[in-house]
Amino acid sequence: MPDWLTPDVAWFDFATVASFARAVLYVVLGIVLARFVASVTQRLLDTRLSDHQTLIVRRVVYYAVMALFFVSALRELGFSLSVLLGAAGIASVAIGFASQTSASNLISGLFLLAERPFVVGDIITIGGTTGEVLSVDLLSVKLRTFDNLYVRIPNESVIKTEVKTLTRFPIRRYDLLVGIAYKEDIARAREVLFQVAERNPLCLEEPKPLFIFQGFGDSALNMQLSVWATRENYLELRNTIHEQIKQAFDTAGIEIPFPHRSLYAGSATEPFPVRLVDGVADAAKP
Amino acid sequence: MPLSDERVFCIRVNSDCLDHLVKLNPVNWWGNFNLSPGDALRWTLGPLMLAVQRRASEWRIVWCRADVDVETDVDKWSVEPNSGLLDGWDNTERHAFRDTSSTLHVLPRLADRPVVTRPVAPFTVPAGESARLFVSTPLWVSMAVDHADGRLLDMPIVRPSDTWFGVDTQVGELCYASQTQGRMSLEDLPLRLHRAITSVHIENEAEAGLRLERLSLTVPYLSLFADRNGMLWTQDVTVQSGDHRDAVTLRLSEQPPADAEEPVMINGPRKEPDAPVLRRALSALFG
Repeated sequence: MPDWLTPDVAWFDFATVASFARAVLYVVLGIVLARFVASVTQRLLDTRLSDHQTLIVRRVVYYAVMALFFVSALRELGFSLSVLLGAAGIASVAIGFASQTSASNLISGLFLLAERPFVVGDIITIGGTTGEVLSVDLLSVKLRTFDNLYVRIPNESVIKTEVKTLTRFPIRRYDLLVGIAYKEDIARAREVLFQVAERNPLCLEEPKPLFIFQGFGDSALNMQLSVWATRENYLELRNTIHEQIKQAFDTAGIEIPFPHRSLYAGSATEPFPVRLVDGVADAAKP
Repeated sequence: MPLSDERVFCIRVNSDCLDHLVKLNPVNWWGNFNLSPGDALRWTLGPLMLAVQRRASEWRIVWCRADVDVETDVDKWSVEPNSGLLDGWDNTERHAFRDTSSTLHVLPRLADRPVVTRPVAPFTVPAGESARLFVSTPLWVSMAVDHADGRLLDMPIVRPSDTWFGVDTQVGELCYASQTQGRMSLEDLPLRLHRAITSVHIENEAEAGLRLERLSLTVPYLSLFADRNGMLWTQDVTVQSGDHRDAVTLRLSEQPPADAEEPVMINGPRKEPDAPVLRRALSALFG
């Protein structure tokens, strides 16, 4: 029989096949065990950590167990780990340069996890975007805006910029700006504003409503009434109190002026003469 | 919760002869009312007007609030058959049952949150001394039928204002603000049908004076009693400030004070206290 027809039996020897089978077994066992350990970990930590933190820990445990069994499988197949690690080291440098942003987002995500400036369900404002936090993931935060848009904000942006958590504290203050005509009495207007706040059941009696005189504006005396409400009632208070103030001012005869300008022809001249016509130009009249 | 001595008012309305409605003359606006299918009753409790109609498989409740002066007009009340339609009211609630039972239990109830009250002027209780304060808190009207899940209505007669009670704007509790100030003499307290009276004994057993500017009364733990004159009371409350500066003991007695003549309990607490004696932080009761 020619040599080229003789199979290379060494390639199919029992030890090699057995190694291969063990490697496959390690991988399969690793997958099964990783899932089991991850789910046990999740059940143990569910009540101690937040949903997001539990998810992170579960994923870390899963991949760690998988990695252990995968490395064992590679050793079983005869791969030298030192060579692999060397190659991985070089690859990681290359990958690191390429994934700087992702790595930064990942690290920022871990810091957010530890600091917890907000949690899932909070309403936050980042930059010009306000929305409800849907999830805080490894690389980004997902928001749902009030007009039902999905916004993804990288964790790096969250760490670097100012974030307002609107739902952190149970009560909120609403600052209402209103102007009254110069001819009105400020003390009387203040009294009317406080009465409106007192009559509105959503307006908290404590902390007390605050009145601030902002200044002498171009067209009006500018004032601020600051009232407190629970965050659940904030929007309703904001909508109702404007209407109530307008009604109260109308009842009290207090004018909220339009912006206006005074025109003068000169410092020593009479004001411009104004003549009312009936809608017909004087030249067209007979 | 039915009354121990049930006062039952029965009406029979012939829908073909509305001119011959039976006139009710109840002693109080609460009690047990028997209605046949198709019958309707109307309550006027100060600014609150509400009507209830029983149908074969539905209870219908409608209500509206009039804009009246709470302090002068709120003592007017009436209970009478409703001959008009139940359409066009501001608010409507409907409860569906397979078969509706005949009895409607109407009871007053205390507030569902603590009530914050201020004395006429802040005062100090010196060490070793005690003071007594009368506080009035708003009442709710509650309606229920004989069913495991039979509560049909639970709403305030006069909607009290919200207020925040806490050390700062970050930590605290949402409460109601009492519309009257706490008084040291019962005669000075304006008595109204939409309010219950609580007698609060403040005992200062600490070594320093206790300054009282406002008080948060844990109303959900209190029971409601009616005296011979139809006035509503809660049981006596004793607040004891002890040696530990930041802790007070809140003791709820079994009965209202002696000022309430022949009291009868008409409604239990919304929340059962863990023990007859409750421990609270000083800051949780006194501002």
